[in-house]
Amino acid sequence: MNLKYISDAISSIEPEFISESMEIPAIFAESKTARKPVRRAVAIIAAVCLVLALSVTAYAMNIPGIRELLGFTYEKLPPEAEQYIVQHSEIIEGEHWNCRVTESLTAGDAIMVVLNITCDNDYILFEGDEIPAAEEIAAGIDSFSYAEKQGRIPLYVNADIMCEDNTLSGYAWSVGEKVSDSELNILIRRDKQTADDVSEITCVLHMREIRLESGEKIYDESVQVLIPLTIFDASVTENPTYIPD
Amino acid sequence: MHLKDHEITALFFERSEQAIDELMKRYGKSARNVAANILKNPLDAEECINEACLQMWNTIPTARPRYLGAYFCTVTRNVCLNRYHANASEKRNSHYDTALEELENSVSALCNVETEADARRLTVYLNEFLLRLDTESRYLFVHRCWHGDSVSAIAEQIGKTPHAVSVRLYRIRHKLQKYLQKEGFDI
Repeated sequence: MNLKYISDAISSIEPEFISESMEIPAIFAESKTARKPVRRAVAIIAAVCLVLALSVTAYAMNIPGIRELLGFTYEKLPPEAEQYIVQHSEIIEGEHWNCRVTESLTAGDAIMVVLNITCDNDYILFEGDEIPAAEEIAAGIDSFSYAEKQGRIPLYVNADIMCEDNTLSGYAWSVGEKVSDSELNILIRRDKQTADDVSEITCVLHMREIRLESGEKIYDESVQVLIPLTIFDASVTENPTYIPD
Repeated sequence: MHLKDHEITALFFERSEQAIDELMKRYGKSARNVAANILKNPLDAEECINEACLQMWNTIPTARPRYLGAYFCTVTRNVCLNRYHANASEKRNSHYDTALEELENSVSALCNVETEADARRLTVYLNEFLLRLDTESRYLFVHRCWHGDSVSAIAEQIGKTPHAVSVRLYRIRHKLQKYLQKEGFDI
C-alpha cells in the first residue's frame, strides 16, 4: 500500500465536505459552550414548538418503523429484538412542518429513534444538507433545482439524538426514507457509551430552508428543534442489531 | 468583521490586493493549520502559505470557486504536499502521517491502493461514504484525514476529551472498512 496514493485519494474528496468542516457543527458548538458559557458564540434558534400527545400510534398510521428503515442499511433487526421497540406518539408542530416521533429502541449499546416528518405543499423535504454531486448539478437534478422547477421551497432536515450527559453519547448515524416530496422518515441511531440505563434523551431536529432571491441562493439559518423524549432501556447487553454474513 | 466569500472573490476579480488580506483574515487560520499539520518546519509552512496566496491570485479569475475557504485550503494543502513529498526529511512523525497511516490500516485490510487509478476509485467510495455519515462524524473524519489535525486538537475544537474523539474516529474508520467491504471495494 502506498501512502502517497491514499493521500491522493483523500485529497480529492468533494470540496463541499471541506467547506462544511470549516464550521464546527452546532451540536459540538453547543456542548462546548455549555461547559464554557462565557465563550458562547453561536446562538441557537430555538423554535417555538408544541408537543402534543396524540393517541395515534405509528402502527395505526402504518408509518415505517425501525425494522423497515434498518432495511436501507447493512444492519438488520432480529425478531427477538422487536419486543424492545416502544411506540411513541409525540408530535412537534412547526410553522410549515410536523414531526412525529414514532418508535424507539434502546438496548445494548444502541439508542434508535424513528421520526416521521411532513411539510406543507409549498415545501419539499430533503434529508441531509444541500451537497449535490457535480454530475447532479450538471444535469440540473440536484435537490435545489428539483424544488425550484416545482415552484416549491426546499427544506433540508437533519436529525440526531443527544443524551442528557453528552459524554454518554457515542458514534451516530441516520438513514432516511423519502415517502413523498412532503413526507420523510428518518431513523437515528446513536451509540450509548455506558452500561447504565438511559431513560431521558433529546432528539435534535435541524431544519433549513434555502430560497432563491434575485438569482442568488439565500441560506436561512438552521433552526434547531429539541424534542425531549422518555425512552425505555431494555437493560440488555447485546447489540439489538446484527450484520448478516 | 470579515467580508463574505463572494465579496472577497469580487476583490480578486477587481484585481485588488486587498483580496489577499481579506482572504487571510477569513481563512488564514485554517490554511495555517493545514500547513502546520503537514510540514514540521514553520518556515516551510509559511512559504507554502505565501505560494498558495500567489496561486489564488493567479487562478481567480478565471476560477470562481463555489467554496472559497475550501478552495484556498485545498490549494494550500496541495502546495504543502508537494513540499512534503519533495522533502524526504518531512516524512514520518507529522500529524498528517499518523492520520494517513490510520486510514491505510482501515483500507489495507481489504485491498492495496498502488496506482493513481486506484486512488481515484477510492475517492469515489470515500465521497459516497462521507455523504452517508452524520455531520459530526464527517467533521471528525475530514479534520483528521484531510486537515491532518491531531486528536487532541480536534478535541479542543469541539470541547470533548481526546479519548472520546479517539473512540469516535476509531468507529468511523471501522464503519468505513465495513462500507468498503460491503460495496465490494477490492483491487
